[in-house]
Amino acid sequence: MSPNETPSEELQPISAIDPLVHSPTRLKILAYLSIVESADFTFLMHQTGLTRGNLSVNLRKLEDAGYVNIKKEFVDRTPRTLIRLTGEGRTAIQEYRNNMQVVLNELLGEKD
Amino acid sequence: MSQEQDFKKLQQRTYQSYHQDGLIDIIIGLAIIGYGLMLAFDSSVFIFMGWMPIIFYMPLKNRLTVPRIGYVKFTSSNTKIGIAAAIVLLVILLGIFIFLVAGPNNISPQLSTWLSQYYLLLLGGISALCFAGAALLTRITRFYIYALLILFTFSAGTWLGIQPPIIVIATGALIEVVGVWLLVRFLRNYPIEAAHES
Repeated sequence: MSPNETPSEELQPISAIDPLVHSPTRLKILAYLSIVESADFTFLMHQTGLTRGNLSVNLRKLEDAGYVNIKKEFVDRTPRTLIRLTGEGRTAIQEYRNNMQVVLNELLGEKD
Repeated sequence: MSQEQDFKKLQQRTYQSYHQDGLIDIIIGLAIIGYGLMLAFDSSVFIFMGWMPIIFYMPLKNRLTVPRIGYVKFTSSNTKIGIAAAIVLLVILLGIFIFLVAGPNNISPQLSTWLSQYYLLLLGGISALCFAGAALLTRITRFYIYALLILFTFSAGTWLGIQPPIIVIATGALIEVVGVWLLVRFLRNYPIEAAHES
């Protein structure tokens, strides 16, 4: 922190952090989706350890924000909910990561 | 550091978890047993028996794994790794084939004698390298154990003078047992839930 900066100015980058991505549950979902091309609901549920309801609610929030794309389809007469990260979602994770890095560097007094 | 690098560990863990069903081990075990039977009975019919299960790999994956842990399509970089691994494996196998079938006529008598005496050791070394390479690319760590197992059984068998087909079949059977054990454990750990999609 420079001598002229107030503590509130120092923590200014925090406001740039996307609260939608910052939630641990949604961050977990986005992290898994970022490493695969697409995954179905069951796969995400097993990998993240979330309950059906919790995953469903958070996926809807991410879909509303345009971060994920949810498509329902039938494979051998069995319903499958296929989820994939959109370009917007990928950018959101990258920005979140960069912003968090800035905030942590500011707080810990480290340089980039 | 890129985002891809950040999530590399997560990617590896996810990939490993997708292959915890032991199906890949069962397929490999059957292929090795098939090769062993081909050596034992000097009949190429068994090589087809060994490769046949590959046809059933994806249907089995869809029938046993997907209903339990879900469906996932990995990124194209993973697919590229798989294709690269398969190409390397095919080139090595083709090289062995050309060397052993066509080559011996053009090589020195000493080397030819050595090859006929220790070809199993050479084959074991190359197979172990293939397994180690596959383990490195796919991060399925048990492939390293298979590489060591093949090295051990093939060398021990050669030094003890055990018939090559027995060594090959025994190695395949061991991998098969591990595969079946993994599959049973997987089926127990992940029972099929009632159809309920959200």
